[in-house]
Order: sequence, then C-alpha cells, then structure tokens
Amino acid sequence: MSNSIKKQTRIDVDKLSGEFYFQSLLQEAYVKGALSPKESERVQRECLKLLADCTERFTRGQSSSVRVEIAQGIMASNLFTIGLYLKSLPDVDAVLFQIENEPIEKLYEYGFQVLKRKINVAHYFFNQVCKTKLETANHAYNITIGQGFKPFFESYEINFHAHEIPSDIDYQLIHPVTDLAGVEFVIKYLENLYYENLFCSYFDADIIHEVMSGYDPSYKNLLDNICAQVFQNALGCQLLSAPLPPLDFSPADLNRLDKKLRSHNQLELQTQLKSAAQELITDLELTNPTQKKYLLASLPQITTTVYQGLATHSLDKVFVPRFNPNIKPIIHYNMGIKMDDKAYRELVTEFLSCRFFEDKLAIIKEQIKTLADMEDLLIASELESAEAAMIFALLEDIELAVLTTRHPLHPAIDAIDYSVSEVRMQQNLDAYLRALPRERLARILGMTTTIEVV
Amino acid sequence: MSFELMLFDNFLLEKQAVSEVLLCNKFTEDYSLVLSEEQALELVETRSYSLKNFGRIEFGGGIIEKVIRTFADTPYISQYRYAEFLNELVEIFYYFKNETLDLMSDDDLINYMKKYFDGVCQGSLDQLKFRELERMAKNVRLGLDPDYNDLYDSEKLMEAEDDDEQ
Repeated sequence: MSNSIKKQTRIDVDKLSGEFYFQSLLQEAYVKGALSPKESERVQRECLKLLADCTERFTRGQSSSVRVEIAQGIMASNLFTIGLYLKSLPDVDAVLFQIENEPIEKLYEYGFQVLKRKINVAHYFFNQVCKTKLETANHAYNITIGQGFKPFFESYEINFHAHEIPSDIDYQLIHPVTDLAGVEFVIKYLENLYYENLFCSYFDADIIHEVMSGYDPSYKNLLDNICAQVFQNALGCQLLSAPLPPLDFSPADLNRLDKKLRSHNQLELQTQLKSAAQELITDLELTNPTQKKYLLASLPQITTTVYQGLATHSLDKVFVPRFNPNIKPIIHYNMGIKMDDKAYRELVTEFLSCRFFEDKLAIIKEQIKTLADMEDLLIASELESAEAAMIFALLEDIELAVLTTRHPLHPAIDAIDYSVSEVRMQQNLDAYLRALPRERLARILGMTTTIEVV
Repeated sequence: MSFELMLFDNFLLEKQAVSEVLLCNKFTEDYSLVLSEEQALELVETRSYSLKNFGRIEFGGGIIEKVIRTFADTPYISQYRYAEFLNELVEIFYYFKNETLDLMSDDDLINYMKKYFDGVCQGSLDQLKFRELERMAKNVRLGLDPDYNDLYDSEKLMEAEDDDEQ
C-alpha cells in the first residue's frame, strides 16, 4: 500500500459532489469558514447576474420573464460549466483562490472553454469505441454504440443545458458511471466502454459469442455486460492454469475449480483471484494502467459471485462453459409408430379400470411398445406423482431426455397453453427428475441439448 | 445552493421597480393617469405575486413599464380605476405568457392585448381575458395565426350563403 502525501486543506475533498461540484464546494467552503459570508453573498449575486444575462440570451431579449423550471435549468447549466473549470484546477486551494479573485462571469467563460475541449475528448473516445467495437449479437451493446450517442453529438446544448445528457444509453458497464453529468458523464462512460472493448479484443468474437450463449442463450436481448463474463471466464482459466483463448470449462474443469476454491474464505478467495488477475494482465500484455485498474476494481464483485457460486454449487453459472447455439443435435430419436386408435381407446379404458397399480404396470409392460404410446398414456391416465414415478422408473435415460425435451415444466403463466393433463404430467416428470441422483440428472439434461425428436 | 437562496435581495429589487413605475407618471400625466407611490408598490407586489403564482421568474425592470406606456392612450380607462386596471393587466399578461408557451414575445403579447382591448372587447377586461386572449393562446399553441377566428369564418360563410340564395 502506498502512502501518498496529501495537502491539508480545510475543505474535505471527499465530501464534494462530482455532479454538483460548484454548489457542494460553496456549501462546504461556507460551512468550514473558508469563504466569508460576504464573499458567499457576492458569489450568489454574481451567479444571479449571470443567470439574468443567460436568460436574456435564451429568450433573445424578447421576454423579460421565463418559467421557473427553465431558469433552474439554465442556472444548473451555468454552475455545471463553472464546476468544469474549477475541477481542472490542481487543488481546492487554487479553486478557492479563483472563486475569491475572479468574477463568476469570468469563471463561466473559462468553464465554457473547458467544456468545448471536453466535447472533443468525447469525440475521441467515441471514435476509439467505434474502432474497437465487438462483433456481438447483443442488442443493447450494438444500439448504444450505433445510435445511443447520436443525440449527444448532434444536439448537446452547451449554452443552456450543459448539465444534461441527451443520449440513449442502454448497455450496462462493469462499473456504472455515477456522480457525473453532461459531457463528463459521456466521456467517462465511453472511456470505460473503450477499456472493456480493449480487453474483449484479445479474444475471438466467436468465442465471446459462445461464452455469452453459455451464460444465457438469449443474451442478445439482455442488458448484461459482456466484458464482465469474459473477464470472469478468463480468470477461471487462469486459476486452472489452462490456455486462455478457449475460455471453456468442462465438467472436470469445474470440479477442479470447486476443489481448489472451496476451502477458501472470501478474503483468501479475493487474494487468489487478484493474483490470477495479475497473471492474466501479464499474459495478455495489458499495458494501459487505467485499464488494469478498471479490471482489478471489479474483483470484489467477482469474488462475491464466485463465493456465492461455491456456496450454492453453481460454479457453472460463474465460470460458464461455452455453448454453441448453432450446433445441430447429434441424436435423432424416433418416437415410434402409435398404435391403432381403437386399440388405444380399449387400452386406456382397461388401464383406468384397474384397481391395483401392479395391474396397470403389467398392462404397460405387455402392451406399450413405443414411446409415443407411452407419452399419450401418461397424459391420458392423469396419474398421481408416486404412480407416475414408478412408470418413469421403467424408462431409459434417453427416453426420459426425450420426454423432458417435449414436456419441459412451464411456469404458471404458460400453463394456459397446455391441458390440465399435460401440466400434471409435466409436474410429475419434473418431480421425478428432481429426485434423481445429481450425476444421472446432469446426464439426462445434457442429452436434452443434443437430442432431436423425429 | 438552493435556487431560492439566489433571491435574497428582493426588497432592493422591489424598491428599484417602484421608482421605475413612478417615473412613468411623467409620460401618463398627459392622459390624466397617475399612480401614487402606494399604488406603484401594490402594482410591483402584484407582479411578484403573479410571477410566483404562475411559476415564472423575471429579471430586470419587468413589463410593468411597457404595459403602462402601451395602455396609456386607451379610451376606456380613467384615473378612477387606473391602478386596479393595471393590476389586472399585469396578472393577465403573466397568465397568457404561460398559456402561449412562451412562443410570443413580451411586446407582441402586450400589443395584442391592447388591440383586442381597444377593439372587439371595447374596454372589457373579462372579454379580453376569457374570450379574445384564450382564443389567441389556443391559436398560438396550434401554430395558427394569433388573429385567426373560426367564428368569423363561419359568419362569413353564412353571409356568403345568404348572398348566393338572394
């Protein structure tokens, strides 16, 4: 830990707001006595005069009055612009010196120049973001970069609405931008997005697509961050000392990770992740110090996620295995030919009239020859869950996988699409699957992703 | 810093405004219209009240002087109700600044007020406020000519139809 020498001032810099810098500074200076009541009054009077001048420009001299909301907006814009200049000064003492010795109008002019320069900086970062843009299906990411900043660069009004952010930003960053307004917000957002893009550019777009599909097959419609998951997977690979580019985890890899991390408490886990992150940075030859700092700052959040993943045995949701949604199913399962309708009706009548369940089982064993008939019977007979479980126990894993594919349990909201008998069958199947050993269940669920019912 | 904090020397501003209003007496004396200091103060207070009431803020001298000068030569006002008349005009002015969505300049609004007051309203403030200016504000909001009046149009249409019949 480095101890930096900090100049002592009466004003606590940490208490100053980033968004309302000038206002918070005046308040703090007044409370701490760094600004006399007389000086404070002068500043207020000059702010009022500046507001009057700006309002006259706003109405082009055609109206002596404006609505209060408009005046408040102009005032906020003026104070934001002054704050921009004051923030560019080296320390709070210099800021106070400027406030005491320069008229507010002059500070506004300086701030206006800073504001114009900052718009150029925003342009620079936007170009960098466009250059490093990921090839991804994520809608929020694409629309934010493609169209989200158009309103800002086309209609950002620096005279009267400098503190506003006219943009449509949907994509969420690892570190959301807070406590900033206007052009400062846009610069910070674009800068952060640029660092995320730079990190992702070390990996192939297809790999990132598969990682995100593993995270959620419909990730293109989500507002989740891409870089966070890629960084998380990269850290997982680093912990396994596995080669980076695949960013993939087999069940065995996840078991190894589980064994390696399970014994650690949260603090030790963070240390492990930090050293993995340092190695990752070295391996990828990341040189930009701000980018490094940006990535490392997300470690506490990742530590919590990993810790929760370990506690809930869901490490595969943290270090997600890649999934290619375009891979065609490799198992084609034929449900078989259904029996004659008349014979089926007789079978069902006989089945429902059985007094003992053993008789029902005997009918199934003797007369049901295909999974198609079994599926119909399971639906038609409306069995209790215990009875259904005994019938499911007769089935092979592949047959259970087929039934799971055809009858996934839907939440109540979808139940309207299914008959009562179908919903009961789905619930019975779900209850049976939940009671299976974890390994067998994983095997069956694994089959469901590669099976195609003919 | 709260916005209200900025309005700390209201008293000084009002004092200055009163003296500006009293200066107008020199101009209106020719029309036998004069305001006392008390009436001038009341007028300035009406302005402050109207601004607050209609959610507006004003810088500089305000519109009182413009209203006094514009309406000085109206034939429908005498010294007897002069102060009351000005108070109402000031209130009407700020109300219709909002109603016209600030799309009309101060000068234009005052000129339209004067035109309707001296014209179709024939000195009735109620007709000015509730009929003519309401219609004008609606026209402005719809992007029409402020003077547009569909009533006159339909009257003209009816007259034209009558002419045709004859």
